[in-house]
Amino acid sequence: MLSGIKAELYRLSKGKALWIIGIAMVVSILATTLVPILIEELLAELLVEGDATFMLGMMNLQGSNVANPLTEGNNPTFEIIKTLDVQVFFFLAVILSVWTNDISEGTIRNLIASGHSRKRVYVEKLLTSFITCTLVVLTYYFLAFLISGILIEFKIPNLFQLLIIFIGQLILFFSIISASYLIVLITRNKTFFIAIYLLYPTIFINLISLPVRLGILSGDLSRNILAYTIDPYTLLSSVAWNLPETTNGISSYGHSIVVGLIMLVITIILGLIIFERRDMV
Amino acid sequence: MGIAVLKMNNISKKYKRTLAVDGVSLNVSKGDIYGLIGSNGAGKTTIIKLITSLISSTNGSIELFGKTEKAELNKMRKKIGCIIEYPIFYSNLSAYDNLKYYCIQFGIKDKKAIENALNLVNLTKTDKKKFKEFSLGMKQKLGIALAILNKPEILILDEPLNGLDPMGIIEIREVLRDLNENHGVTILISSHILGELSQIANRYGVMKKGRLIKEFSKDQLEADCKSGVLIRVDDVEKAICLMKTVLHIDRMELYSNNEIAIHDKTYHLDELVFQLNNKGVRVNHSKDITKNLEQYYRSLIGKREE
Repeated sequence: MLSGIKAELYRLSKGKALWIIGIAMVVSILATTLVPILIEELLAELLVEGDATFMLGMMNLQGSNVANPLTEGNNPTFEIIKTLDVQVFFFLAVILSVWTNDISEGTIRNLIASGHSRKRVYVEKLLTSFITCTLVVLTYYFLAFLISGILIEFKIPNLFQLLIIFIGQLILFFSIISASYLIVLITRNKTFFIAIYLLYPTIFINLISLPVRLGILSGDLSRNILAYTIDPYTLLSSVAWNLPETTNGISSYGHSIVVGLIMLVITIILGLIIFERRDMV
Repeated sequence: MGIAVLKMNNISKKYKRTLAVDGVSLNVSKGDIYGLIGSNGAGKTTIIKLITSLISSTNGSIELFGKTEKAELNKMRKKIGCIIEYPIFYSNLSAYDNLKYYCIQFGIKDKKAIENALNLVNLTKTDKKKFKEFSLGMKQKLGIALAILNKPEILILDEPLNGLDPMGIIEIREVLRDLNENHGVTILISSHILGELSQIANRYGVMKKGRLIKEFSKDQLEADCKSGVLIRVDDVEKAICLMKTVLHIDRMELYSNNEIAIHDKTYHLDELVFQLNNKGVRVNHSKDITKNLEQYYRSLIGKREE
C-alpha cells in the first residue's frame, strides 16, 4: 500500500498539478486580502466625491457576510480561511492527475494487468488524493497567515477554532474527492467529469448558498431546502462560517461533519464495488 | 509439451449482445513462444485482457502457474509483463520517470532495473523527452521496457511490433529470443506481422470470430506447409519420364532453367533425389516447396473472414 502511495506522490511531484495549485492558492489569498483593502480605498474616494448610490453599494458589500480580513476584531488569517471552499476548484488538478487521467487514458491498466488488486489500486489513489488535499489545505493556512501578516498584520489565530474548521472542511473535501472518483468511474469521460465538477459547485455556491448567506432567503426557508442541507459544497463554506459554538446560521457544524462522513463512506463503498466489477476495455 | 504456465478452460466473453470470445481453451507451456494469430476483431486482445484480468470472463476459468483462485491469480500476475493493444504511459513524464513510477509501484529495489530495461530496448538517449513527444516506435519500445522491468516469467505482448521500423523489429525480435532462450521467459505474442511471428514462435493459435480454430506447433506448421519439392536436373525429359512411369508422380510443373516442381507432399526430398540419381538423372539442386505462415493462415481462415 505504501509503495503505491509513494509512487503516486512521486508522479505528482514530477507533474504540474502541484505548481498550478500553489499559484492558484497565492492568487486566491492575495485576492481575498487585497480586495477589501481596495474597497476601503475606493470608499474613501467616493466619500470625497459624494457618489451616494455607488458608495451605498460598496458599503453593503463591505458589510455583508463575506470574508473581510480588515474588519476590526477579525483575525486576518481566519478571515482568509473562511474562503477555503474555493479550494474545491484547486483539487480538480489533483483528481485529474491522480485518477481521471488514469481512467480516461487507460494507464490504470498497467497496474491491474501486473497483478495489483483493484481494491488496493483504488484505495492507494484515493489516499494519495487525501494526503495531497491535506497538504494543500495546511499550505493554504500557512500562506494565509504569511500573506495577511505581510499585507495587514501578523496575528496568531485561535488554534482550537482553526483545528475544528480544519477537521470539518477536510472531511467534506474528502467526501467531494471520493464522490469525484465515483463520477469518473461511472462516466470515464474526462471532459464530462470536468464539466460536472466545475458546474455543480458553481450552481450550488452561487445560485443557492451565496444568496442564502446574503440574506435574500430567510433562515427558515433555507432550512427547508433539502439540497442545501445535504450538499457538501455548501456545507463546506458553512463549516467555516458557522462554528460549533455559533449554530445560528443555516447549518450546524455537527450536521456538516455527519453529512461529509456519510457521503465519504457511501462513495468509497460504491467506488470499490464498481471498480472491482468494471471491465477495463 | 512442458509444464503449462497458462491454461484457459472454455473461456467465453460476451459484451452485451456480442460474443467476443467463444469457448476458447488454450495452453501455453513453459518456454513456449506462442503466436496468437487472427484478423481484427477475432478476439486476440480480448483473450489477453482476460488473462490480465482487465475484463472478467462470462464463462470458463483461467489457470496461471497452476492457480485458479482470484487472490492467487493476482499474485501469479505479478510474474507477467505485458503490453495490451498499445503502450500507455503518463504523457508528461519522461521514459525514465515513467519507469521509475512503476519501479516504486512494483517494489523493485534494483537500482539498475530501469537502466537495464531501457538498454535492452535501445531507448537510452531520450533524456528528458516526454512520452507525448515519442514516436510510435519509441512508445512501443518503452512498452516492452515496462513489460520486462519486473523480470517476468511470462511476457504477454499484443501487437508489439506495430509502428517499429525494420531495425526496431529486428532489435525487438532479438530481445524476445534472448529472453526466451537465455532467461526462460515464456512469451505469448499476438501480431499481424506473420512473417516476423514465424521467425520466433514455436507454437501458434489461430483465432476466428472469437474461436480458437486451430493450434499447432512449428514442426506441424512446417509439415503442413510443405506442398512439394523443387528439383533442378541435367536431363528434364528423362527425369519427367522416370517420375511418371517408375515413381508414379502425376502432378508436376516444368519451369525454366531445367527446374521441375513436384506437387506431391508425400514424397520426401532425399528419397526422390536418391531415386533419380540411381536411374542416371543428375539432380543439381533440390528444395522443399513450402507455404509461409501467411499463406497457411489464409488457407485456414479463407480469403476474407467477413
